[in-house]
Amino acid sequence: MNELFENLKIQLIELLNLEDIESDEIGTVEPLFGDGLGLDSIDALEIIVLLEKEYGLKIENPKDGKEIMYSIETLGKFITKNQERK
Amino acid sequence: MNVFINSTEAITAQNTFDSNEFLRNLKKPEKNYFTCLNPNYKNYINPKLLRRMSKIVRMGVACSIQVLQKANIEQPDAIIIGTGLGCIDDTIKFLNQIIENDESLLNPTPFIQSTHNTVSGQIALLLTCKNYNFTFSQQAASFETALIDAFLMLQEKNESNILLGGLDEITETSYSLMEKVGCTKVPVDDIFTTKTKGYIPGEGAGFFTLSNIVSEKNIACLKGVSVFNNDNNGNLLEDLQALFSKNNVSIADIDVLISGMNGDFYEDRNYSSIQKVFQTSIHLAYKHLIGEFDTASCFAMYIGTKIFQSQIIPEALKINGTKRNFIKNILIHNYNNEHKHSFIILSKC
Amino acid sequence: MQKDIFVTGVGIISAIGNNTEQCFESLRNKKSGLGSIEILQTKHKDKIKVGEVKLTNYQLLDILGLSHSQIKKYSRTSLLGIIASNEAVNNSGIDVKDEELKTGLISATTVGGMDKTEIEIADQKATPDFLLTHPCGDSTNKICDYIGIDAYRTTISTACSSGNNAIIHGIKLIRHGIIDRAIVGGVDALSKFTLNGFNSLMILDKEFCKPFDKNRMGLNLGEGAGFLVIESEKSLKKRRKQAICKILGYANANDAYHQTASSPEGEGAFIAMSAALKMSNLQYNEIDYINAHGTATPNNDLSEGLAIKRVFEEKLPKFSSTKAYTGHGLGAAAGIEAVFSVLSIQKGMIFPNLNFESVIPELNIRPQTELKEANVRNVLSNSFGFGGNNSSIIFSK
Repeated sequence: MNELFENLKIQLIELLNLEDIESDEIGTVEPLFGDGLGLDSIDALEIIVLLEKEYGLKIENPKDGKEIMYSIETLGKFITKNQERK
Repeated sequence: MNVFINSTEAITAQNTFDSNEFLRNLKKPEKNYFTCLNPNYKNYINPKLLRRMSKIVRMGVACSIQVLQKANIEQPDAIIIGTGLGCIDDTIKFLNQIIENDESLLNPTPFIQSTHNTVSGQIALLLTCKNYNFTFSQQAASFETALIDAFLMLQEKNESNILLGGLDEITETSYSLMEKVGCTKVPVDDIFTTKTKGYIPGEGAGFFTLSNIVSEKNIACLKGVSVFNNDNNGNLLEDLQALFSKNNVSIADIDVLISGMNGDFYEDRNYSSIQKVFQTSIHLAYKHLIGEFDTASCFAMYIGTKIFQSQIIPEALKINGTKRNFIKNILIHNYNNEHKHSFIILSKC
Repeated sequence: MQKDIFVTGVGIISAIGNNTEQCFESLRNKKSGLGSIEILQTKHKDKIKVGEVKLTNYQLLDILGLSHSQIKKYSRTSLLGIIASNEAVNNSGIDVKDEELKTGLISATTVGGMDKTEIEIADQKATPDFLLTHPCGDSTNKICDYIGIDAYRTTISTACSSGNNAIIHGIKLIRHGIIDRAIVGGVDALSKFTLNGFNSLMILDKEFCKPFDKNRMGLNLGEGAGFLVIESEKSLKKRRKQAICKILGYANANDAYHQTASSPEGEGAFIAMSAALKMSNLQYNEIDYINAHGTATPNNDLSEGLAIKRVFEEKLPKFSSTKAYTGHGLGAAAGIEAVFSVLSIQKGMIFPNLNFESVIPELNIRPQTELKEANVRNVLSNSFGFGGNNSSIIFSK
């Protein structure tokens, strides 16, 4: 799981152009949106695209994404859970 | 009401941004088109906000921050921008994605960033400025019509400051499309002597704060703007004379004529009748230093403002040998096949 | 200064009609133009609903009396724009060649000639002529060439508020005597670019959109063009022409909240509507109808609804979104809705908000769902766009 978390951090940095941030600066359990990393609704949409492109997982309704994308941890758990089903 | 220019800033292929130099140490284009000398944007814009900004947005935001600071304005009463092609880089990015991914799994960011008013919107966001916000996109008349909108607003609204800008960007792809269409030519040392069709494309941003408040910050007075003057009936000079009479200016008063010649032999011929009228003025050109793009005339206004500020005329701009002791009045002339002749009159305050 | 601004002509082409009369009949008969994609070639063809003008580009050329050999010269945007603006000019009866009275064109578009660009750019071998038709200014130039306007032209591109902003710029030019009358409005054609763009934002409704409804899912894209002819009193007097209505107030404001989403309290919308009302000198209860922006996205309708409640408090005028008829025409939206606002006054009718079933709980306000005949004196028309750009215009009898 830790490897997945690390990969996600690197992918987010690239996807969202977080130039000045290193992967070890992104907390695994800290919130990604709002106060934490400061991501916004556009970033949420980008992460939805990432989930489908890289992990084959589709989120139909952006509202569902809120819980899933709360943190790196919740993202990682969502991916692991749904990829097991496949 | 009088309209004043209180500050100006530009990002171009020359060292113009946040610089004490006025067009010295000139740079030649590294490719077949002019690309901007970009500052380290992190010094001017919060890195958290920078991440989504394409080159054109960075140019616009950085110039805006500078001109507002120089004029000591926190919130302008209006933000008015002109851009010919808008955010062309993000537009092409999203288009390519559509083609390559066959309309699936598309990233929304380049689509959002491709809207023409991204620059003006980002500036408003940065400043939390809830005031009037317009973006004009009429090719070579984009900057001029934005300028007219600003000018008219300052006739209506007392005690106001406006942030005005013109900008366009170029990319490898957009250049190669222009080249294929046949409107470009390869850079040479003196583009005004080659008798060939084509211009050298470029990119750049020129920003200003305009105001109708009299203060020691006033650098130049924007006396008049006139656009879409055609010469079909040979009445161009009449139209120019009418503009002059309206503003109490005479031909002899014009110390400097800045022409938008771009090296295209056939298009540049449209400047000669006006240049003949102002034979005793200093003649300047600028597109050989920054290239041609829809909003390039914003740089002419930048040059005019800087000349008033310093009373220095860089050698690189001169295309005749005339000298004058003190520069009080400048006429900017731009021509484009679609939009015909435009004139801007600037005076020293 | 020429203070009063009069509307003397309208022209429109949209999913509900190819001219003003057809559009009006559809409005009156609750006949929506939303449906499947038939003309635009896209992978999403069978998946979403749009408000498409059911005419091919060749058919648009036919309407204009232009030869089919000209097809490469015109984007679909230009053709739609020429049709609507030409109708407006004919409707008003102005002579654009009048030597004393200057006529200008102020248009609006979000993606210009993209409909042509996206098809042709894929062909790497062909000369990229689409470079000439791509820019926003091209459709404006094509309209001017067709109609014969040379005094003034420009294009405003501020996303979905563009058309209202074009009207505002036109008004200023007339007030200051730069021109005496103007053709003002906007145009956009459906394109894969915008379709996929809005799809990537996940704000499209796969079914018919439901403006101001609790269960709204998003917007349906539309296309078309809507233009007005506006004139100074001087121009009107010389022509001895009766105006259809006046424009009493207008305003543009910025939300400054987020690049694409509106602020929860609809601040920008509130400021724009309030300022337009202030300029008009009308009392709040003198507004008989609001033609809302009402895109049916979860975000817009809530924030616009809140803003309307903030402005009008308990005395809400009748309001509706006509986007369930036409779809969201982007750069064309405000122009199309300006025409509808003028028709509302001229015909004495308030047009219904289709597809509405239940109120948005946070708002508890009902749009007008039936066609209503009424003495419509004053109409407020809203158009809001990306970049937090909000514009409101007030039309008056």
